[in-house]
Amino acid sequence: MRKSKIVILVFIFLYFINNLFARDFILGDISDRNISITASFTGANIIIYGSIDPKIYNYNNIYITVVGPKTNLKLRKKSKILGLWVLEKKYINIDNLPSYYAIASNANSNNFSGSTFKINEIGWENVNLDFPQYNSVKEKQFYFNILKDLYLDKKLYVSKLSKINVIRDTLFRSEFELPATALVGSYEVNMFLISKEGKELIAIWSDNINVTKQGISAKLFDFSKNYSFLYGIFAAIGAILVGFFASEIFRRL
Amino acid sequence: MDFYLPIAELSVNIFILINLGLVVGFLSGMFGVGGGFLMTPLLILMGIPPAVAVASEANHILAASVSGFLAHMRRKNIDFLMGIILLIGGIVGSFLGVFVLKYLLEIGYEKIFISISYVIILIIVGAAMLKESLISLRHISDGKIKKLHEHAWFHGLPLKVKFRKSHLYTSVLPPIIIGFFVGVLSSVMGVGGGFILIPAMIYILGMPTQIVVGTSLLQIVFVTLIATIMHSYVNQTVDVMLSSLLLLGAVVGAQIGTRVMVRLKGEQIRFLFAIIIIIVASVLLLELLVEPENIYLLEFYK
Repeated sequence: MRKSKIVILVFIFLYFINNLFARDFILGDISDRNISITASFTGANIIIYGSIDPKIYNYNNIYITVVGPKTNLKLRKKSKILGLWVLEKKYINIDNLPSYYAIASNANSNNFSGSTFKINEIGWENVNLDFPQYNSVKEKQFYFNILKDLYLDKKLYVSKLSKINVIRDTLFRSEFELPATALVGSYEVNMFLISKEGKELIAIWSDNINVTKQGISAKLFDFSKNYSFLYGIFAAIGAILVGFFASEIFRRL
Repeated sequence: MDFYLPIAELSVNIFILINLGLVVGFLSGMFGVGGGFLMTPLLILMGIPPAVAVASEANHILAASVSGFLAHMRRKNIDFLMGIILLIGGIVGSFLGVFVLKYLLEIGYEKIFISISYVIILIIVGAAMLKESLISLRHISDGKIKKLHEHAWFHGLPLKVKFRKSHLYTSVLPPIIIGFFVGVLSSVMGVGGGFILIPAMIYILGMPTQIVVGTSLLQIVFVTLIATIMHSYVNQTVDVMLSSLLLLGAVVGAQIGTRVMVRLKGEQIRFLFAIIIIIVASVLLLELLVEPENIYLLEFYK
């Protein structure tokens, strides 16, 4: 009885030690965990620092992902009708799509097939989203690519493959640009250490960045949503007063 | 220097906005238009969401036209009786226009409808104005005396009223109908409506050009006042930060425009206005004809 208990305790102890080390295989830090959108906000740079165990570096690849808050969107197509480019009436609903997706790696392969990549949402094709109307794989692939191009265009998708330089097999750094159109909410930052053949997840490190609205822009936004009628009245009175004073000032000039 | 717009939720260059306000404000002071028909498409081209551009533009036109309206009032360039009669039709029309837009949004053809309406109306108005102003300019140089205004069948409709300021004795029905149509169009297209109202007042009602500008501003002030409140209340799309930045330039521009306008002859004002209208129409038409860079469009909704 006693012996078996000891064995179990040792086993648990070893398990924890193992876990502890596993966590230490990769460690990271973010330059700024709180990003405020103020009146002078023109986008932000997210700098992520990390270190890995130099002993295992040669056998593994580093992947960093930044996943923005989920959003819903409509995808609409323009087509030529009687020589004019018209936005089509029908649209595709895509729900629960990350509003921002960034990926960096020291590896230069963009092959993200395999369950390890899929489960951890590593690579654009593994991003989770809801496609209610389209179930065929081919169609999904087609819309995935369109979304990717549109996101790239709006700087909401950033891909930095083979862009992580590892100094002395241990220190690395990656920088992502967050555009001014970024949605407020929680941005998930994940660092993965994955074996070179892409099968095994060796270690993971995660953190969050909070993007919030602050200052006058936040107050105006809240006011417009919560007291919309009053906001309208104030907007109208403000405009009339500005027009009136401008006219008075110029009369005297 | 960039500035973050809280309702549009993106940042824009502050100097571009102020200059845009200045140029459009100058035109609005000179021609008595709110300038929305120029500003709204330009804002959309800058990447501001169409709904926010339309609503904020209404707020901006309100401020810009109050300034111009007061300037014209001091110069006694307003026919108040005519303005109020136009406004009766205008208010009814603008309420109806909100429902027309709502219907268009539901069936999903609001953008193409708005663009095509712009192109058709701007080309017709611009061409008519250009032709007329060229004829007038030639007549003046010939030394011929022009009739005060042409008489058409609708001037003989019932409910005749004397408009002293406009030197007219005509039925109230044409101005009510014109006001109504302009009200509908201004709600649907997100403009003050001066660019339609002014030609209508000159060519259909036969009002003198100098009076027309101030009188149309009277209508624009009230229509945009309603639009600002309605858009804020129903859609929460009025970005006061955006409209304020546009205003910085616009109030200065409008005052300069008003001063320049006093020195110009009516025919010259109409000639310049016609040219600008035709340029805007051509740009809009090109937008419809040229293949877009990306045939797919993303619309976020939370």
